[in-house]
Amino acid sequence: MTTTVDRPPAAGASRTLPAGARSRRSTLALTAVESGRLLRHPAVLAATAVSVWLLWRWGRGTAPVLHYADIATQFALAALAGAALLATNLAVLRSHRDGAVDLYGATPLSLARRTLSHLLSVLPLVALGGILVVADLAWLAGMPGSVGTPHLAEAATGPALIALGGCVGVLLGRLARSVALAPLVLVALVLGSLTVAELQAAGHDQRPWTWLGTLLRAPPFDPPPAALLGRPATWHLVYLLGIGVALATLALWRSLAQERARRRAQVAAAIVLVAALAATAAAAVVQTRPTSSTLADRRLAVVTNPAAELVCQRRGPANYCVFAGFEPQIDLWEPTVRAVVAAVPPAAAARALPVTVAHRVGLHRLIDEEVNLGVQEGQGPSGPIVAPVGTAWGRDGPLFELAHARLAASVAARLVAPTRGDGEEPRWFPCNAQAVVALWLGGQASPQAAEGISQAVTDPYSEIFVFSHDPVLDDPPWDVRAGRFALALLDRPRDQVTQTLWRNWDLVTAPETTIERLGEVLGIQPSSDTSNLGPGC
Amino acid sequence: MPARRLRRQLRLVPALLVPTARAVGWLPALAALAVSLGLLALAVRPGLPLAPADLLRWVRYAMIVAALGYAFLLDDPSEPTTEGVAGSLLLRRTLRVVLLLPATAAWWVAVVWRVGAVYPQLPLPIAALTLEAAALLTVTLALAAAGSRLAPERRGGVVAAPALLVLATAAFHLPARLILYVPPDSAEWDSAHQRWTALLGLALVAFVVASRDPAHRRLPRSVRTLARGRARRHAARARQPATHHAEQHTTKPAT
Repeated sequence: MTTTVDRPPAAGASRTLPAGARSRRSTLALTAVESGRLLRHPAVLAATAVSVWLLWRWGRGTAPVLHYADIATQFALAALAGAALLATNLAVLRSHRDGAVDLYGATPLSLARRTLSHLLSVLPLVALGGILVVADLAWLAGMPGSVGTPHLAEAATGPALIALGGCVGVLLGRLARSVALAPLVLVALVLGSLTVAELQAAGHDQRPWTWLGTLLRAPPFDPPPAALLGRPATWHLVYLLGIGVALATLALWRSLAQERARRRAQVAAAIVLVAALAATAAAAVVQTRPTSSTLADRRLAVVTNPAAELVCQRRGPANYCVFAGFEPQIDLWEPTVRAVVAAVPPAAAARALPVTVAHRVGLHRLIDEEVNLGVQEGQGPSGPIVAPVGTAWGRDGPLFELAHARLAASVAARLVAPTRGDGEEPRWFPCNAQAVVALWLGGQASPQAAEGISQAVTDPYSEIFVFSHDPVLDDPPWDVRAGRFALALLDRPRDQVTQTLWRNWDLVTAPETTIERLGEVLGIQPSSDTSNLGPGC
Repeated sequence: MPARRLRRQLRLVPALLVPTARAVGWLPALAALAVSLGLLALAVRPGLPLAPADLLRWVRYAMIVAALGYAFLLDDPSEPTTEGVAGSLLLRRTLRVVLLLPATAAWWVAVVWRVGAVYPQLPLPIAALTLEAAALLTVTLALAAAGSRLAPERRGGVVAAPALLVLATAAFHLPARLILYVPPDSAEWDSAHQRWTALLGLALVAFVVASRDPAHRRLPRSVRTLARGRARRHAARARQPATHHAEQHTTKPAT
């Protein structure tokens, strides 16, 4: 099939209009037809479905942090960008496939005008991408516990990628007539981008040149405040748009050269090309500069003294310290904290309360991937020891279950082994009865917490584990054997275990009480697997 | 008689080999195999240690790139013209695949050799990966065969290549129950490869079904009765005495 413009300008009008305006009109009419075909192309329809599904899957059930969610939209929209590349390439080559090239000689549109139409036809698809991003962010912003503000440049990067994909598709169509070229180029681009993104994920600020790739994921730890992220999003957007304009101009220039167009038009195209390349180069230089020393100092300050950046407020049994702007997350944690406190005898709870629940994220990984500065340098927490919690939170999914378990078990650990005296660290033995009791208390908080505990215990990475990928000193360590015993207790009727524990509370929470002794008290024998006691036992 | 028809078809193979080799557009297929090897060589190299799961992922990416070339293997704008020749569509398409098999085998050996050379201590599950590669290539061929009915000029690659990319993207996001791209030490490894086997079988059937010869399609009823009537009349005349018979042959029979 060939594309024909159904409604040419009325005959009377065409006589009165100057030639330039006529071909402008025809260009726009062809653009309208081509963009309609592009939007209905099966690859674009499938990619739209994939993008919508990815956005839905990543957003569903989370307590979103919007300055991370905007970065995630780029990956979802990358599918649409790939489809744009394929579909525009097929559209440009359609006349070759259909043997209609010679027929086009009789139409008023020149080759360059047709190329321009194909380039412009991508814009509605870009708009579709923009609508998807805005809808996604609006949906996420309305969720309970949503925090942060999306960055305009990060949100615009996804649509910019679609435009870039369309430009690459048109340029490939003008360079070679083979439809096999575009899929191969697409796969090479995708794999290249993924590799560059992987390289960055392993080193963050150590490899600023990775910003020369197309899309870069957010740092792989719980979202810190936006001010500490330091992603050169705006310059990266300029970089992508610059490449897009350069490729589009190259395609136009090629068409002009093929039809031996007027010299003036070619010179204009060359000037735009040079300007686009200059903008791209400038953006490339700026975005690959290393992190500014001010930001690096600020990050280091947060890592060494996490309490400084937090604002605290007292609610019920706990004192919540969060990053400024993250207050809505407190509502999400409250049920968990209250449930754990309710499972402790009131007298014991009164002794330990209030518990301090505080944000801790793995910000140190932005500074040095290998070394956990917070733990390595023996930097004791400057304030009282807290129950740490990350900024990633949600209803279900393994990651969020782990977050629930981390909060519930840490709060329980602070209640079971409260700080005695001022500034003194609590006495905590991960392999003794108190760890079992704390894990059991944590499991009472919510089904998600129980699931997270069972997940960490059944699939531990060492005999002593913590409920976080970015452990800090405040994270109480746990022994796998204590964890297994706690899981066995969680399977028992709750009232029965509660009664026995409450009756013997002082004994079962004493630091020296062993798991065997706890087993005797409860009448359940722990598994006799004592051969592989962890190094901390 | 299927056996007789098969024999008749196979007798055509030597005659069809050279024209088919000339008709196939080799460039996309060979370029895809080369790009696949190039990407793998870049990703799997001595100075860059990869986890086994990542290594496997790269081998799978290499398979997808190679499959992209297969998407264009069946492109044949002359199909509507060659419908009437003696070799069936299935035979002609199978010949194209067979002709590419040596290059594919060489590519796969090179992939396995490269991974083995860079990671000599890692036991690569070669049989399972070969099954994955075979299934993916067959799925691509089935897509190309089905696509040639949709695409203009029987260029099925136009449909098959994007479809393959979409399917491969979807395959990497399948839920755990239906996982295909399974990491090496997963408990799902065996069941995932049962699914791959089933996929291979399904794709083969789809390829065969999509390659049914259009020349053998059922004619409209009116044409069939007309043809049968003429055949009956011709047979009746054939039973007439020899003098008539000789006379009959002066005009060319229409069968």
